Amino acid sequence: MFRKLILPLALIVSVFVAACATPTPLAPTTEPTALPTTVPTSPPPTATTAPTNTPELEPYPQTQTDALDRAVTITAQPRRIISLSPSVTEILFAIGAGPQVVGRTEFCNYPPEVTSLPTIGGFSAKSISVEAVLDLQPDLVIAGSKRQKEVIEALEGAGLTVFALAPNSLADIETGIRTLGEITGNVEGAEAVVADMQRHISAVTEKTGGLPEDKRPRVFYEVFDEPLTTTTNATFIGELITLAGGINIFAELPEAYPNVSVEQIAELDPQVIIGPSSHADKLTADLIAARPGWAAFTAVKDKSIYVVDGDVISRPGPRMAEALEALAEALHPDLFK
Amino acid sequence: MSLSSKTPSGRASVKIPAFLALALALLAVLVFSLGVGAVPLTPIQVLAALTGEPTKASHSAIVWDFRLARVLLVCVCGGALGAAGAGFQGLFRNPLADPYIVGASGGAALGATLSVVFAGESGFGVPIGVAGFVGALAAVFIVYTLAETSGYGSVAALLLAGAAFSTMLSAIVSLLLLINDRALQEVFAWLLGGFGGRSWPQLWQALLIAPIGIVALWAMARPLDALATGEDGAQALGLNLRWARFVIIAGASLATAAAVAAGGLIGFVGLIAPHLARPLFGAGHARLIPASMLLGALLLLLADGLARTLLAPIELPVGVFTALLGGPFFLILLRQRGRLA
Repeated sequence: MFRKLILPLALIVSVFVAACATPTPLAPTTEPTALPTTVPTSPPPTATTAPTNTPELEPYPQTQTDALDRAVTITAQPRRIISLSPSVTEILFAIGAGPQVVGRTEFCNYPPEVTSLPTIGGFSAKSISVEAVLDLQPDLVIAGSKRQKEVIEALEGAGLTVFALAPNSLADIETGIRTLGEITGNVEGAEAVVADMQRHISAVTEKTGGLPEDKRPRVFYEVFDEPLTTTTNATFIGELITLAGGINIFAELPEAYPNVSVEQIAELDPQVIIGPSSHADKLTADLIAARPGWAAFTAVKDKSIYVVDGDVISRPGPRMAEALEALAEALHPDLFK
Repeated sequence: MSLSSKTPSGRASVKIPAFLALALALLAVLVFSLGVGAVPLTPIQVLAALTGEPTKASHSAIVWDFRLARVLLVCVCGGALGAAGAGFQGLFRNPLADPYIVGASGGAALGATLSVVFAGESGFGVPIGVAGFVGALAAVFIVYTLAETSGYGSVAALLLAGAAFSTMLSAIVSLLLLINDRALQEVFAWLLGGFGGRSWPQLWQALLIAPIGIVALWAMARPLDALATGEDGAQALGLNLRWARFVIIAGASLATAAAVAAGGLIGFVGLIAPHLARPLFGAGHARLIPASMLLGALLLLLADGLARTLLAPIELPVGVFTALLGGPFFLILLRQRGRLA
């Protein structure tokens, strides 16, 4: 009897060991993965001011209200910052606070130099190690989601200062960038990043803003296929689709990332299907056309299926302007050539 | 409660109208289901789409590709789960037995999790349904082998091994999901069960496998009746216990795994359907198994109808509704049984 057991058990154990040894670095849909970029994108907006280590522009101590409605007091310019989200990391490096960052999540991969920093875990609250954070002796921890509340409380309990961002719109993102500029003493860098974003955004909206309803393609944004998941206009992705001159067919639903019925997609007949690169392996024109019933959709007939860099479109940071440009080019190739 | 067959064979004819009524009810709900969903259609629109002259172009895809295949698949899965539940309840003489009692759920969950985790990592993809199917059957096979070679050599060993092995597999699944943020969402959605986006390919797969299991179970109706008298009694009646156990477990697990592959882990249908069938059709398995099959199909069809209409166009996991429909029903049934006893 024992011999019959050995093989299955050995298999399970080896799987177990393999899984423990190499945790797969994959993130939830809101702050996704580092998968290869499929759509070439323009170079990211970078801060025009060089990082300086002694700006001291803001008076310290300063008190700021964060996304969890807590008044957080920063006593002195932070020198050892840990970022708990890829978007926060991108913001910090863009505004010139890069030299002040000492720790990141395993999903933080942009700008490329961040990968040399030590990691403190993943993005979800459960995967972040409080011990690893403490070990880096940070003077400021910046969280990037309300869902990190659990770990935020644990870190505060351990005596650390934690500031949370949770942007839900382009306006939130710009405010967040400015706030991080003030907190970290990089006000000028932050202003430059925001100005750069606004320049890129208005370059797009100047062309798309005046488009009449019938020139705006109906867009189905496929976050995931099993279960079929989309996003609404309550998220920054929805906002970007609108700004890029498209109409999100699921603009108004009660959840931010709802599972939707394929029947409704058929009824609304999207003219364009877009999805993030983390999902690119399912978003080829052939694969979508092969899904039963999908071949009848206008988007599939026209082969209007586009993949945008998931890291860029799903991270509420400085590269949102870049995501907007990619979307606008996909939706209105005639306007952006 | 006793599951023994009290109906003499002479009364079989009495049940034919009941079977007909049940089949007609199922057919009626099936036809009605074609009209409901995220996009409500009138019976005339459904008929127009089915006959190839849709009133609107999109109706053709909605009725043919999304609804017809889906409702048929739901019937096959509900039927498979109902029949498997009846088989396991008979084998274990335990009214709480369900299709997942010998480890199918733990194995399916692990298979599904591994497929998602490793597809993300290596690009070497096994469809989640196929991985669930293989996992379910592998787990049942291991449990069965363990139990048959144990000192117990009885159904008690199967129950114990099933429970222990399932718990162990669930722990591995939890661990894999904890260290894997992204897999969590996909696997969790799959574990809750659902038929969103299922179409003809899944229907053909299910039709290839589920009927084998259901027919095997049905063929074991007499041994199952004999088992109702207890293992010793069944042996005294000349039943080859080992063989009977094997065919019943293989048949029920094949049917269960086929349903799992198509719709994920759908709870309660396999538990409830036989309980609904028994008062209507008696405890004799020759009738109980097909009756449980029809009732399972009916239950799952209703649950799926709710899942795709309640918050349309948002799709809800069907498993939530089987539990919501089945739970209270089961409790009422328990109370009534208590009074009769």
